Amino acid sequence: MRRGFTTVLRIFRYGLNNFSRNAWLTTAATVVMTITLLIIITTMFARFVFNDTIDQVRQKIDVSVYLKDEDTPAQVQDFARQLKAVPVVTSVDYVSKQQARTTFEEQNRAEFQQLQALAELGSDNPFPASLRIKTRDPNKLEGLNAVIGKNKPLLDTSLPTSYSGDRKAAIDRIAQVSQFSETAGLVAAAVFVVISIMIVFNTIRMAIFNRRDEIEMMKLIGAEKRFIRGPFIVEAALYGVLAAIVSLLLVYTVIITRVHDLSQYEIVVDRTVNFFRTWPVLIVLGQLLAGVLIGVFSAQLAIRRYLKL
Amino acid sequence: MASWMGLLRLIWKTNKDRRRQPGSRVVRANQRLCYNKKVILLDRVTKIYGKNKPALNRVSLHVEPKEFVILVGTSGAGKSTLLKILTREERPTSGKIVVGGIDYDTLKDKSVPLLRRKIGVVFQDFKLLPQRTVFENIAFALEIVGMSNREIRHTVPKVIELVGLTGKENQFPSELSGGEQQRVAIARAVVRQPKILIADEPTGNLDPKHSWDIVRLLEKINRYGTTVLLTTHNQDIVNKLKRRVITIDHGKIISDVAQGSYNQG
Repeated sequence: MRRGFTTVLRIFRYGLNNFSRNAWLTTAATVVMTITLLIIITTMFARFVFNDTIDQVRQKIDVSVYLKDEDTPAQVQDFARQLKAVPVVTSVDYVSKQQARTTFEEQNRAEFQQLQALAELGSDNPFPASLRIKTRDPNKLEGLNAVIGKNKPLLDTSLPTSYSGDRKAAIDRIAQVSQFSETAGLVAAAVFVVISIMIVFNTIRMAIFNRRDEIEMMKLIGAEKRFIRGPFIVEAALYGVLAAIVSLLLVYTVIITRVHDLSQYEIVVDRTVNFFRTWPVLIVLGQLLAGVLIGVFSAQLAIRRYLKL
Repeated sequence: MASWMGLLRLIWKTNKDRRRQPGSRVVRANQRLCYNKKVILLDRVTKIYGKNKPALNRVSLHVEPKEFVILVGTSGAGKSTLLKILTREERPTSGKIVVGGIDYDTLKDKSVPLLRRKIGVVFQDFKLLPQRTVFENIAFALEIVGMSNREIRHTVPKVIELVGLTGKENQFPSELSGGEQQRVAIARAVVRQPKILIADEPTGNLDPKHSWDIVRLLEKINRYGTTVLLTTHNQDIVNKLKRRVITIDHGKIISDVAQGSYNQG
């Protein structure tokens, strides 16, 4: 038991020595693996951020239908009930004429002329009452439109139904960018994983070649296969560990601290940043695991091919 | 009653005869005992590479414990093949091999390292690790078997003293002469106290003075109880040592003399 433990420790020590001995090869392998891990984690980060942004914008979208002044409260209640029955609808709020006027006044506090024109009207309120409808998915409004069409006589014909049009377009744009960035991220991650595997594979192949005399000697003095192979696996795993550390440092020092600048473009980063801050252990373990897996897999390929024992 | 006794005697005799049959358990056990007495036993060992002539052709030899055996022969005679078969770098095409009580027929691949730990090997080109010091090169042989650092610190200086390199523990191979490097290689080979030491042309790269230093060291190790199998082209060494000399030529043993000389080959 104790011998086994000593042997494992020595395998790690030899791996560490080999790692530090090939400075150039080590640097090349580590840099490529760092880029790979950065792409993986950035893709993940971007996916979270875009999803949150889309969710938030979606929550803001609402459909407003403007009512005639003559509509009775019973008619309006019945219309609202029908609207609530549509699956995509999350809420229906009645906005009275007075509320509409107050909102307008608050929103246009700086527009002096408009307020003055409104004041000149006195008690005459030009704003119609409306129903504000919030939906789950702005892309599935067919059911809602059907209900609105059925109740057309109740609607103020001078004001068409408002779909918050620019918001819908914004959502579509974000969704497109999100989809593109996710696909591009996944493709780039896959490409770089393959490049990393090839570079680590070649680094280990070179290491095996450089140490062929040592390997030969180890075989002849009775070293077990795991003792000869182990240091190469440890060496490759260390590339992954170092790459994970560097990529995490970059993520936590650059991305997490600078990403708030994106907030001014209405991109929602708080939830993702909070997740990264709340679960650093999870993120660190994930990155380490990804790095070590890439390293060990490549080393196993090289060993199977070039280290004949 | 007498007939009963006769019948019992007959059954006993039949069983006894059966036990003496070749291949019976008793005979196999006796063979094992016999093998175990020899440190090296080769029985009609043949090695053929591809479709070439045999590199070894029905070679049979046995070496007793604590013996000092010199193997001579021209280049390509089959010496290296023989040594490679002994260290299980090569497998014979046919024949039986028992080394240190281990029968190669039943030796599994995963047990080969255990066999090699019983055999110390010294090479003409030393095969030292250039990035490691003298101490580290010798300690390496103990590290791979999982010996603790404390045991290593205790054992290695004794072997360094045995090979006469005290004071040079922290030097690197490149800082040593050829003779000193070979001493390090010998120290590494014997630090685990193997039953057998195979020295493959250990003096091939050395001048006469250093060659004799190495041979004296091998004799010293042999006196401590290790069986030494030495291959050499050096006639002077073979003739002056007056040890058992086995001569190989074209894959066959052509002479095996108790106190032989090079010319007898």
